[in-house]
Amino acid sequence: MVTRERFGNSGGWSRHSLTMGLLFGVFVMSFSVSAAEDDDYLKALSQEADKVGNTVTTEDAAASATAGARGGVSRQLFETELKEKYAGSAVFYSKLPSATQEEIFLEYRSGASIAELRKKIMDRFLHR
Amino acid sequence: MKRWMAMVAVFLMLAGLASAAEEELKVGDEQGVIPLYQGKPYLHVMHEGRSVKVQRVQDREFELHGYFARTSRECPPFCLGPMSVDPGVKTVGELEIFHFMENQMRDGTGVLIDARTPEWYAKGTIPGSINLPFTLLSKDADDLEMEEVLEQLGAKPREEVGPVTRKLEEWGLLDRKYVTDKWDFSECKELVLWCNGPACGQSPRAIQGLLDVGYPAEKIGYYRGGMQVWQLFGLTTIN
Repeated sequence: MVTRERFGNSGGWSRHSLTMGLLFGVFVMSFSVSAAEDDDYLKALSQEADKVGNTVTTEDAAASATAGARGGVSRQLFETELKEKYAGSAVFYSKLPSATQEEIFLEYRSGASIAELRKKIMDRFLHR
Repeated sequence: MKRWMAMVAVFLMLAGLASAAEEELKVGDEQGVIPLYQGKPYLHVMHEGRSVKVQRVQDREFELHGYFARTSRECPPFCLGPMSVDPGVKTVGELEIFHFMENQMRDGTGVLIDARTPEWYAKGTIPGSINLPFTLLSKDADDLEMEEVLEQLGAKPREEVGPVTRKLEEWGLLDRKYVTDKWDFSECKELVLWCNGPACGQSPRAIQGLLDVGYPAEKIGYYRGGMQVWQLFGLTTIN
């Protein structure tokens, strides 16, 4: 009888421990799944952020006084557009001294056409 | 002969008038500013201690390029989200942001929050925004960093409440609208949170985090358009 009770108790304890173990396992699993999901999301965000190489920034601070037809456009934006639309001119532009680049950008801001600017880039590059 | 002369004169005069009108129109068109909205050409907002002019790109031929010109991203995780994050949180558009910049932000009662991770913030943000990443705003109310943030946003840690006050609050005899067991939000600031746009989950997560610690929903706004729509309208961004 005692043995049976012992066995019974022992069986009860083992069922209890099994249930507790399972619950604990589920808890830990759900926690780690959630943490893994967060990690995956952060990883995806980080990878996506790397793709933002040329963020279009259109800061207009002190330069607003000289703003012309393209007042809100930053130099970075101008250069991005040049690279995307006129790759050849962008290469020559990149070889110019920074003061000349600034001059061309200011002309762009004041409304010069892109054809004029491309000619100017070539003229400056060839020292004409 | 005189009649012919008169007809030529009238013709020349009409041609001159038309030309003048065209010129006038052209000049007016060149001088015309593309405003933020009708009657509001631009506004200024403080960003990291300096005044920044917020306006639209004035080039009518300007087209958006780069990352934010892309229409699609991998989903999941970058799936289109619902218009509303929570029934109590209002979703806002650009005009409400301009108004917020000129009122609540100017008088110190409002904070514009870029809820993206710092690497996104570093690549350009909406002027006037502060960077409180969603990873920070999703922390528990007991977390030290979260406590600091909440205090920065005007919430006050609550002192130990006596049993009588607690009972009165439970019975609804004392107003518990803006208080939790730990925090008093009655003087907290109005917030507008934003991230990369309608397919971005960062600001919705941040908003959920704030709601979880008891931040009043009516003091939170969600700018769903985020950086993508902001840039689509050629609005000023800043590094």
